[in-house]
Amino acid sequence: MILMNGILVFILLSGGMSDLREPCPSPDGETVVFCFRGDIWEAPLTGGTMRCLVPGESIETSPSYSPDGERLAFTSDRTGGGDVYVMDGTGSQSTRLTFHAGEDRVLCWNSSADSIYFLSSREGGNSWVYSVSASGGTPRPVAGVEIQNACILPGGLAIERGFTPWWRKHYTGSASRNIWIGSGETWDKLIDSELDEKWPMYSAITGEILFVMEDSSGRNAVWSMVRGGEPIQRTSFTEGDITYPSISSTGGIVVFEYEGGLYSMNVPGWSVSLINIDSNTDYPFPMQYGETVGYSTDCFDVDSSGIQMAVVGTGDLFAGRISDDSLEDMIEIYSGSSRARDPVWSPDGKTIAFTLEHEGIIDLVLANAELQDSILLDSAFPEIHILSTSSDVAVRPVWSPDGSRISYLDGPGRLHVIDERTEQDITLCGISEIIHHSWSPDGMWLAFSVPVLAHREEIFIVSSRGGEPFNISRHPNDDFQPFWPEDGRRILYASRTDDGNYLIKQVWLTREDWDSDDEEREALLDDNLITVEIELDGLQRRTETLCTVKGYYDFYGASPDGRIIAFPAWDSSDRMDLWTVDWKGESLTRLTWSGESPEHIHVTRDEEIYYIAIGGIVRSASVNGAGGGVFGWRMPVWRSIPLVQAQKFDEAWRLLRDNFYDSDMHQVDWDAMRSKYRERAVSSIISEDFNDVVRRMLGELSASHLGISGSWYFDSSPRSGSVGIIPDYDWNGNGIRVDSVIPYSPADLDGSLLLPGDIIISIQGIPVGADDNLYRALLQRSGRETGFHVLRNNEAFDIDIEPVSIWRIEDLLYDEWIERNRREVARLTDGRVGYLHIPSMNNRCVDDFLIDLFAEGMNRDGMIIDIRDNRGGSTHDEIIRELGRPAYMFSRDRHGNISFEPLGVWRKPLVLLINERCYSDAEIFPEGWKELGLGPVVGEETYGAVIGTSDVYLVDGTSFRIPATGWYTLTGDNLENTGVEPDIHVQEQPADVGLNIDRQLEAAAETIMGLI
Amino acid sequence: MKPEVDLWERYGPLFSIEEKLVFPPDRRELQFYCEIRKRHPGSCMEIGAGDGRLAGVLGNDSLTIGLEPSAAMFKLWTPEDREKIRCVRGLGQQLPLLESSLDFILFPYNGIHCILDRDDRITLLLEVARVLHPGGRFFAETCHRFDDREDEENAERYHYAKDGFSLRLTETVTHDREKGIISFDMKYSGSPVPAGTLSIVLELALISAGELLRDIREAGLNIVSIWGDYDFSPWDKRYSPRLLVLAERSDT
Repeated sequence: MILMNGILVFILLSGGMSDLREPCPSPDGETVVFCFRGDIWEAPLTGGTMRCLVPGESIETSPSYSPDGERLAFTSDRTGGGDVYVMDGTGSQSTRLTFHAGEDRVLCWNSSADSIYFLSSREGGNSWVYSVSASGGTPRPVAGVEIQNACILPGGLAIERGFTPWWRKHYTGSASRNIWIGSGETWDKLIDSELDEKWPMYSAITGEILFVMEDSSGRNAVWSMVRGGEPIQRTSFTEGDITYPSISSTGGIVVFEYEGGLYSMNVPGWSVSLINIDSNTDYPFPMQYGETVGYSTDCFDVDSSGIQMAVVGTGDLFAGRISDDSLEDMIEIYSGSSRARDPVWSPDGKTIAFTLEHEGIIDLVLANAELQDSILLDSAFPEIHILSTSSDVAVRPVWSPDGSRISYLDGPGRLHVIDERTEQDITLCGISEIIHHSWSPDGMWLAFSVPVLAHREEIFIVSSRGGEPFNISRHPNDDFQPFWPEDGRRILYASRTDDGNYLIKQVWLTREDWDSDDEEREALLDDNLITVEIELDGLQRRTETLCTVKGYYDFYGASPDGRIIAFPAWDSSDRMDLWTVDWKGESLTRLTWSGESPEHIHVTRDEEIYYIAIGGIVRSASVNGAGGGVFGWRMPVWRSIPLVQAQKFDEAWRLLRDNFYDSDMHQVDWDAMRSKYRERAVSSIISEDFNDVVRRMLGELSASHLGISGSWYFDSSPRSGSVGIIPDYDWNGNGIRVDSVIPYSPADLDGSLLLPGDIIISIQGIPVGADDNLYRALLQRSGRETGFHVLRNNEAFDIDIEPVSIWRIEDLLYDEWIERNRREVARLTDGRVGYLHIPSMNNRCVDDFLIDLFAEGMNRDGMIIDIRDNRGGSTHDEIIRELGRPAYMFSRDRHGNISFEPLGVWRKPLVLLINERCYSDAEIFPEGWKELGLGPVVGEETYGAVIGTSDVYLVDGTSFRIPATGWYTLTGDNLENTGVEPDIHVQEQPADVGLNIDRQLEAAAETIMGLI
Repeated sequence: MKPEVDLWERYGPLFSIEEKLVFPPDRRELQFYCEIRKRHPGSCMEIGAGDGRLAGVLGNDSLTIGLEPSAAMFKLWTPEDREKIRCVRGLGQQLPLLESSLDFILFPYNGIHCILDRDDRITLLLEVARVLHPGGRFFAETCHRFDDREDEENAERYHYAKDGFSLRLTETVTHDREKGIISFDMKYSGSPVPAGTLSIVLELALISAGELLRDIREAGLNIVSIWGDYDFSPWDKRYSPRLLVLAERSDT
């Protein structure tokens, strides 16, 4: 895989073979194929020189030899999210076999070597096993069971079923991966273990099923067992974990990954050998490349004169002169392996302070951005100087108004002030977790915000020489981001309520100014105080709200004089745009209308507004609504892949070191983890391999809400559409026979109606059927009128249907599932009980919940609330408050109509349905439900994955998760790794979904009928 | 910034320690540069000024600029050095000066070997020709002996210990002749590396005398003198430890 932007330098593949992955042995045990840097390679099983079989710019994974060894199946993303390909043994040509827009992943071949089994989510079901003929055709389901991996047994399958990430260690809970044996409707667990069992394999030589499971030391080992027997540990490595094992079709050789290398193990001898793979190959990989950065940024700053802008692009810092719609005369301030961030211009516009992250340290750096000599051109790099701060981590620098000092936050979030000249560094107070801070115009004070009560921030002020801070907001709202305008008479800040209101407030610092009318205040704003006066008594009462809009924890920008405040706010369509309000709270104005989601808003003295819009583009807008532009810029930079990977690794490691919710890191020696994984991560050339290594490090923490993904690129591959039919997979005739039609799908609409029993002969003239892939004919047809030639009762006709995306079909399938559950509950309860499902814990779902609760529940005697498969969010409290309100009174009119207080309070029996796929906020909710005694809970124990989490981006745009806040029951139990237990335990069986059996729903209906 | 430049952000401070403590100062080289500067007393720029080792030698009454891309190296300059030479951060391939603005430019020691790509070296020479006054002089130093050096593995280069300070360097030397690069895989341990071992891979370009002279001429500079060592002795391909070249912008 050699796709990089603008590759300029190639060097030969060097040593350090640490990213060999997903091996598969040939049936004769002579060779092993494996993935290396996104391509598929082959080498002798006994070791030797590797040879590339499938090169290219795409990512190839999961290679699998056919049982006769003649062909190789693999997964490739060359045509989108993942499709199945097959290649003959010569490696000369590969053929695409699947065309569905979803992700397909090769599992194995069938025993007769004519079909390939693969994992896919499509109209039939999620993550099912499908098979496709090696010569092509429409795939058909093999097992209607949601799984992660599978292998073929005599007369059935061994499937791996569970929901934990493959890299997570030590998990025991309801979502753990277990191996089941069976076929059709009958499945039994192979082993009764709480630990994950992964990667099932079958050896025909011993008749055993092999798999990976942690041993007593907590390391992944290979185990084997006969059905009904006891598992026997077959490997005992002491340093790391075995992953991605694979067995030859004869069952005599197992190969696997271990610590970045490949090993083989013979069966039944169980002796293990390292496969020494020689990298002596002339296949080049780029280690350095040149690219042009520009347009996209994650932070910037405009100087006080509004003339210059400093802007960060992929960790490099540049500065330029603001022109009409671009940055001109750009100079490089910093470009290198460290990550530059948070640039701020000094008040005189001559120096830029910024932070530089490297190897777990964040330095505070000054760059003299002024060129003083007449013979010098702007290609001179400014001289940079690293300040000697008293902390290893210094972030969010802010200049004092006179430019002599800089305030910043250290790793724990304590507020520091460092003298720019003497580099004397003081900590202002003992408070940590400070997030925002702002200088008073006289340099004597700093205002800051910090979480105080239930993660809600309050506004404090403290002397810039240090001392006792004073809380000036003292309000249950989340009050944050204080800003001290240059008049010195007031402090602006943002405020947020639980129900989605976002307010801009200002507090007047003296009684005299507070008592002034608008006209007098107008004059006061032009009369900047030389020395700020603060009357602490009654400050909270001298606070006024300038405006209230819909918003969240978003950050505003204010002009230096504090007359104009610009901020993001949502409209009724959930579009976030740029709004302004003036200091009097008048003229609330919406400036943009296209849902730009503005961030890093900066307002100049001239009331020009700069901000980062969606896509990381710096845009401008004027308060008067005039103009506005995009600030493009282009700068060439050089990248060294190992240095970029090192920077990303160190950032990821540090982010968890400083922010993971448990300071004891779940008893993991985090420094040791850095030593263990860094070298492998740094030597990973492609992002997929790098992320794989980092995931293994994250797995050591045995925690949820961890993850790394990306960096992203735009995938413009052709996608298949869907018309919403379920094919009859038992049909052996020509064409595709329609088994059923998904309600409200394109095939269900008037004018384009297909019926069960119809036979689709061709689409756009392309034949479809068992040998002609249906989805190939639907490639690129989404949203386009498409001609279908159809047989109905032996009568041929043509019909035009406009396919939709597969994601639209997923929505319709969900709707159909809800309707089916409602009908089933009505049938089981004689229409007396309503049913609603909450798919996610977000605002839209809360709105739907409120509608469903009363629409479904109004004329019924009880309600089943189903949160199964809910992946979480943040709205548990809104639902709990709705359901948990006690009635305290009722009113009655002369006609006997009764109304309870509070209005609309729910007073009928409730039953909650949960399962092992309830995650995060969908576990806080049932825990709260049980604590408040809202009703019986039915189903399966929840996942046990509860940590408050945010996402950040590493230097190259890679997305990284930071689980930072633990959640606990009132008795102090950590909800992380402790699932919520149902009152009535009902376990779903593997085949239930495919057979439309819902034994949990049935139990819920039975339970609630007992309460009515 | 190119990785070969970025490397000096980490390596620079150690390099400076080596130059000041480990290796005894070579009086001959300072005398040589002193003499060269005396012969070219006008405005001057040193490319690759490093930690300011030549500041005391080059600084005079005329404008003297020390050009260095590495911020870490600049941090090593003393206030006294900064008095003598104007520090400017920049790349030789993109000289941050106006056309025809200097009388003399020098690229001393083995700095030119740090530019791995020959196209980049040619760009630098064209930049030198652009920035020099007509008739202005350019001086460069190279070490063609890198080519003859044998490959070594984990050879202890030195173990310096004095007054409680220690520094140890082991080095693996390899050549990639196809790319024209000698690679020093250096492992440092001792007082400046409290965490254990610091590993740095320094790559230097292999530059033949013929290649350098041809590139200088093609950049529009005439060769004025070629010396083989700091004693101004004539260059001899077989015996000279280094190649010292003086050239002049030709369009007078």
